[in-house]
Amino acid sequence: MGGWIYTIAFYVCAALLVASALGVLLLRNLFHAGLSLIAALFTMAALFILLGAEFVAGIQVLIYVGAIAVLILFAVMLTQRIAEEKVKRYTRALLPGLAVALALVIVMILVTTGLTGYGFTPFATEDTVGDIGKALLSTYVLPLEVISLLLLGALVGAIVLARKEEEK
Amino acid sequence: MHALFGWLNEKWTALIEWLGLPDFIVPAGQMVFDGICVAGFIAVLVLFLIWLERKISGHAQDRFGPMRVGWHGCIQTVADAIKLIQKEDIVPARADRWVYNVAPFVAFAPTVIAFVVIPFGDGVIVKDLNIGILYLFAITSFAVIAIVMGGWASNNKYALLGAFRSAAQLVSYEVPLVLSVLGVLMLAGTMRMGGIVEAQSSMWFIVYQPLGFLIYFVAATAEVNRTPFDIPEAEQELVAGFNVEYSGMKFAMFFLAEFANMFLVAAIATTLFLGGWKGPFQPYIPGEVWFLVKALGLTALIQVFRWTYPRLRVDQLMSFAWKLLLPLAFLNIIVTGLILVLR
Amino acid sequence: MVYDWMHLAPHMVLAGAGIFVITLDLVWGKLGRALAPWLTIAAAAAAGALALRAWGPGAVSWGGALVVDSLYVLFGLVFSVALILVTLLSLRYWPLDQERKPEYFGLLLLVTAAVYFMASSLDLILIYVAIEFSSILSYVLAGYLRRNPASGEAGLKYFLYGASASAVMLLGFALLYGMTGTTNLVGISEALPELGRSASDVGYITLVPGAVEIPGNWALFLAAGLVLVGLGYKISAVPFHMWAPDAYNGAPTPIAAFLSVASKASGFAVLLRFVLVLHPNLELVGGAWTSYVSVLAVLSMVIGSLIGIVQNDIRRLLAYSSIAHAGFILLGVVADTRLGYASVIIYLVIYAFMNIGAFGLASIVGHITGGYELSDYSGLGRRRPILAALLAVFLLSLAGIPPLAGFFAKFYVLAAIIQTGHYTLAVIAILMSVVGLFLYARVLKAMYFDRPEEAVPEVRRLSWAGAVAMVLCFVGTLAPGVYPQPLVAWAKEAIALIL
Repeated sequence: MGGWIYTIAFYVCAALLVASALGVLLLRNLFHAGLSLIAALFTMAALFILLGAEFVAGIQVLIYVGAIAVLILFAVMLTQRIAEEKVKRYTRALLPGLAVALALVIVMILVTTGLTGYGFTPFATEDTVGDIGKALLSTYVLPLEVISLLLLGALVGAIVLARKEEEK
Repeated sequence: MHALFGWLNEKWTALIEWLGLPDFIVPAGQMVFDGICVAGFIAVLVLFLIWLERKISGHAQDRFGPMRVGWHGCIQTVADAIKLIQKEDIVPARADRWVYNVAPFVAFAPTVIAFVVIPFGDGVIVKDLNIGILYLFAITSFAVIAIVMGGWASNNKYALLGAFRSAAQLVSYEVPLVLSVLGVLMLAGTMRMGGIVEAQSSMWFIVYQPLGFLIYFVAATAEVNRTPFDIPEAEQELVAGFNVEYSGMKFAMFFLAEFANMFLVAAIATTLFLGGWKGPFQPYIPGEVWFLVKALGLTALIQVFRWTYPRLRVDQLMSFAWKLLLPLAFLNIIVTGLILVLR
Repeated sequence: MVYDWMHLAPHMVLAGAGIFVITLDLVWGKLGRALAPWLTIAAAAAAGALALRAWGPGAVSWGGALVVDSLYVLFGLVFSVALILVTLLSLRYWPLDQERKPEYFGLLLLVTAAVYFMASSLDLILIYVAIEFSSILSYVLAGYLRRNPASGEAGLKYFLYGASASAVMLLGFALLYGMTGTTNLVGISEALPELGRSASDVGYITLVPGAVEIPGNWALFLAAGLVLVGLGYKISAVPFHMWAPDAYNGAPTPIAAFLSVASKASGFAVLLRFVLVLHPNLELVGGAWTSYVSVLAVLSMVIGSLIGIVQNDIRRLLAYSSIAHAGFILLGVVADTRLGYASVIIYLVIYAFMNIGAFGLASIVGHITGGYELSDYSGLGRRRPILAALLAVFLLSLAGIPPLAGFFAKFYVLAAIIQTGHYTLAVIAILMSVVGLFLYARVLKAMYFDRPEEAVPEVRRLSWAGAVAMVLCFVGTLAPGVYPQPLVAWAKEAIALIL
């Protein structure tokens, strides 16, 4: 099948991603910005699929769209009248922010063009799920276990900070 | 079935070649054909399911249900659909128009593309992705966003309350839902839907994973907002929940998505726990028939639940998910893992 | 593949104790509350003792992710000491009485496990996970006082800053992985020469076209810079220091002590790990990579010392002092010799005692008088001569006055950079030591020469646990000053074993 279908798909996804990312920044209504964030996360998952990383794409949608974005929307809805209040789009830090963004763009361009010279090519694998599973339980088993500790600690911390006052 | 698709594919390729059109039309046409098949299947299926729901409701309440249009009211739903199409499309004055109009599509589209990985028979699957089950959970997690969008954009307190409840419920029940199928994945050693069915050649996984099946089925019932977990649209409290302001075709799309989702979770349960298309007397009774029988049986079971159990309270709902289903799901994973290691 | 459980023993003792403390509180609250601090101290001591067994040139296990060597042992001891001292200080720290204590100690134990992981990881993924682990729990601990808005502000600022810094660092890690195809530091080190060759084919890093060209590799240069941002935040070096004064100010003061010592040391542990493993090929990052570190060092020393002078809150003052100290410690890395790296360790060990001592006294005086302003210290020399004398010792040691240990810490760092010919840096460091002396002298003046405008009431009694901690700190501050040879020999041997 013609590789250029993928090229078209890539540019469509990339354009959507940039557009929705801009939407997160520029939309005045926080709820709309949250929805735009969901669109951005979803198109990013599409890009992962184009790169052959289906597992990452699935996890991306499941975690970011299915859980985190929903929590963001939930928080927006719970906050009183937050949606009616037009959020300020610009802060005093606009210029420094633009400078940082510009620097980041330059860095990315330099790096992506600079990286082509090196021998490392991404390895394509048929069974991404199996390979990731094996890597997680051999080379990366320790980081995996540390993450579980991290989540446990974060959970305890969140509950301690957010719990109701105890009745004395 | 398989042969039919193969024959169609061959003819289609030949046709494009004969017409002298560029190559990419072949896969593009296949995609369009797949899409039409899935959408058509869903449309017919939902018509049937709505009729089934009304029949079951009727008989559960000692009445007949629809009887007038067609034999035992079997084309009543078609008539209802035509009526819905003709209805005026009302948008509340202070609604968030853009979000309000998009929400039904966000509800419906994921359901359609979720059907892509459902294995109706041996090889009768649009695309057997190697992340099959993960893809399903990822795609269906959009349902909650559609509900939140619809509920919020309606600018109606009942709709908003419904959306609140729904977001809390769906996010909570997704956790035991995903965890409950891990046992199956450990047994099958693959996430591909076709592979999972193949792994059940000798024995259905429900035999090895009875607890997993129960957790899955309960959590799935909650995921599709069915009684006893239908507090997002509890009629007595919230009129109709998040979709109270919707009318006409937009309401129909929410409705369509809801019934298609109900079949979807039953189809997933069939694939994961009930051996998919496998069944006795093959090839005399084709696999597709077995699959539909099992999946529709489970769907009917969910519909019977509606007239069997009372609705849970919000706090009961939450504690049920976090304090019962979740620990049980972990227990199931641990026991399965131990048995697999020690065997 | 080797999975050596003994290598993980200290980490597991700490994490296990943390989980046990939290669970015990759920099951048997009364016992949990009574036992939590003692279990914490016992676990810290046990972890330190277990870590000692790993003394040696380095053993790699767990898929190449974990390394235990002499460097890790010394850092582990610093973490254990910090945990024990902070636990003693927290025991009677009054704002904590209104919060849940077992979880506090449980989280402290988990943070310590995390910093142990940071000191012993050899894999980018584990390094990142461990850094996040320690950071996220630190945010919680910094915001632990829910009745105090400043504490919440501390947690939030720390969190926002940390999240950005770790995102930037992750980008650096991603670049490293993208160039070398491995997340393992050893593998990255082996792949660097390949990159270096292709870099010399590609050309030079051109800062200003035709004018400033540094031999090296653009992408590596950027990756190193981005990683340095994340570590710079962890060690609170300028310009990544902004969170420190607010976080130390609002957090429970024992936690501020822990952050300024264990957290900072863990950042240095990762920095040293990077530098020592990649050492043979670090030039490829771009000529004199040490000059980038020296920029951080000079900025930290100058800004930390100068801004510290105008602070009136003892915790903010100590925060800026700890920023300045980060600069001094970085000088040891700039020297890039065995003596330089040894001096980093020597400095951190000594700094642990004297800085916890200073923060501990801030906590104790805050406990007794309820205030942290310099005005609360006026006349302390008359009211509480022993406490004032102890605080004076710690502050003078921080300033680097002989014969206290702080002098030797600064001495070895200076020796290392003078040996390598960084005279300008040495002059700046000495100048900033003088400025630092002025900074600490403000507290001394308040204690011994100022008269309180009104009588400062003592609202609470001195706790014996805090007193024990201070005595320990005092011994730790004095002993290396009087008899530094064992510590110095130890640190030198630790570096000699692995470099």
